[in-house]
Amino acid sequence: MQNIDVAIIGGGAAGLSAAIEAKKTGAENVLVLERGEELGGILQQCIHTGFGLHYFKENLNGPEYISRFIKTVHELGIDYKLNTMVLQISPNKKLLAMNSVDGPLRLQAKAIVLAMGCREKPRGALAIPGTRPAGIFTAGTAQRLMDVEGYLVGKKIVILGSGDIGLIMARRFVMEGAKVEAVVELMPYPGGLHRNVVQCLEDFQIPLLLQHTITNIQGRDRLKRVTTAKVDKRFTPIPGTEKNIECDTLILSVGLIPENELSRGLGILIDTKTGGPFVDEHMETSERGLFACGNVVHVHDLVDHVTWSGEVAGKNAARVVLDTFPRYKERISLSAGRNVQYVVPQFISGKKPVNLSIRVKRPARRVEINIGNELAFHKPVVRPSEMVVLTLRENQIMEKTKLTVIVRKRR
Amino acid sequence: MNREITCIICPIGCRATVVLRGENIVSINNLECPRGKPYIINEIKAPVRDFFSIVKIEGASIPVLPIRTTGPIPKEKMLDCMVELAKIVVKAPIKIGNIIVENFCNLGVDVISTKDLDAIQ
Ligand SMILES: Cc1cc2nc3c(=O)[nH]c(=O)nc-3n(C[C@H](O)[C@H](O)[C@H](O)COP(=O)(O)OP(=O)(O)OC[C@H]3O[C@@H](n4cnc5c(N)ncnc54)[C@H](O)[C@@H]3O)c2cc1C
Ligand code: SF4
Repeated sequence: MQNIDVAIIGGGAAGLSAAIEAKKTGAENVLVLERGEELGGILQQCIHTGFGLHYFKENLNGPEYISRFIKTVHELGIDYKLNTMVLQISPNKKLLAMNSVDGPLRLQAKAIVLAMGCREKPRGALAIPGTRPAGIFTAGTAQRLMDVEGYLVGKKIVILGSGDIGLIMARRFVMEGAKVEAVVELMPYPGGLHRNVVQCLEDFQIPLLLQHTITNIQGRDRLKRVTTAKVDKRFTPIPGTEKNIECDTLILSVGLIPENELSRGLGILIDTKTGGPFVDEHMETSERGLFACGNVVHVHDLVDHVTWSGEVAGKNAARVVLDTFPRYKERISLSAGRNVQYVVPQFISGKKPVNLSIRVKRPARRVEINIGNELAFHKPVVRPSEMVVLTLRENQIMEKTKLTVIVRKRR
Repeated sequence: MNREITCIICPIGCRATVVLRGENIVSINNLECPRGKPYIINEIKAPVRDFFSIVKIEGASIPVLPIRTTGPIPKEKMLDCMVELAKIVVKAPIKIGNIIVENFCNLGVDVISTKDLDAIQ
């Protein structure tokens, strides 16, 4: 059994910033466990620009953004193990991991940071009728095949779902010489950032079919055609609106889910709204000394926020090791009310300023965001694709046990 | 002629209706604040975009290297630039920030590597 101070599960943007901050705060023995072949996580395949505008005030792509953290990991002499899968964590902070060099690895940590990221919803989660031909990929898989491994996945492409990864891939396909026939979206508004709709679809005259879905998939060996249909308010396909689109590839960009098998096995409490563990302002989960950050907590749209959450988790994990972790008796719960999908963190002490991440359910204009009964923040527009981040100062908090966050039309 | 252009300066995303007579802008409507106008004018006269892609690399652990240009390029040049880029093959090792093509397609920007890749045997 190897003893370590802070064990970090996952070497993506969240895990690396947690490791760096834990080391800087004073934890000596920090170890990052990463199942992939290199550090960096999903950012290694995100070759488009737009990363780091907030954190570095520079316009970088994914590999550039994460390389800065990898460099710091090396400079600070932080240990990491690649090709290493963490299989189990127990509440007394014992870990079981596995790789082909060490075989099974048993570790005892003083604090643990969960930073496993998220994964994509596959076709199985959608239940589209039809055959099972080749040529159906999730957007992230297509991204990896194209931009890391160098394969163009198809020539005539339909994309289901207008989340950011799907939009970004639409542009990449066109740039690499493929034709994108349509992007099909169930909701009445696009799922991705506004900027991506303009620069990835409108720039290339790619049709965006809102309130549409795919009702059939045809093809024996390779995909031949898909059938689209308009949907009504209850998302049921409207008979008579079906249209066939000839294509050889279908890309699914229908959402991400936090990767929490390990957390569930550990028995920490999971918020059904975020799909990730409940956390407080220190990014501590329901289990003491166990922290979580980045996409494993909730799906972020900007990596800058992922990095910040990793820093909070790493710093506080180190404080647990150093015995300087502040435990407050007070505990105020934050819950999601009208037009709010979720709020993170779900618990705060009310003793210091905290950044709240709020995901709305539906787009709305000229709103106020009420936190409890007293406090209102005005926003000209809110959208599900753009997380709202608000700073709540301790002197703004009036209620002492429970705060409900709602978004409504400005009075 | 009328054109619809979405302003991307802020999250509101106004959809401007632009009336054009030939090359000349007659009017721009439906913008909610003054910041949108210069953006829309630029989108009509000289729109630019970030440029990034991959190029072939030999002797590295992966077959392609992610690259970007050091600044935005004219929007209408993007597909031509892709054709030029397809002709390039680089050799490992390469470092982040290494210049792959100087003054790419005479656009005044360089193509740079965005990843460190070691040479493998
Ligand atoms: C396909 C895809 C594309 C994306 N594109 C964009 C984008 O274009 N722009 C943007 O801002 N955001 C994008 N995101 C969101 C992006 O993931 C976040 O911005 C950020 O990079 C997430 O960082 P993270 O560290 O939380 O997760 P990740 O980067 O996913 O890192 C998690 C790491 O944990 C490792 N891991 C998981 N389980 C284990 C285990 N049991 N043992 C060991 N290691 C484990 C994984 O291998 C991975 O390296 C994308 C997400 C996905 C899934
Ligand atoms: S015109 Fe003004 S309000 Fe409208 S999107 Fe542009 S910056 Fe925002």
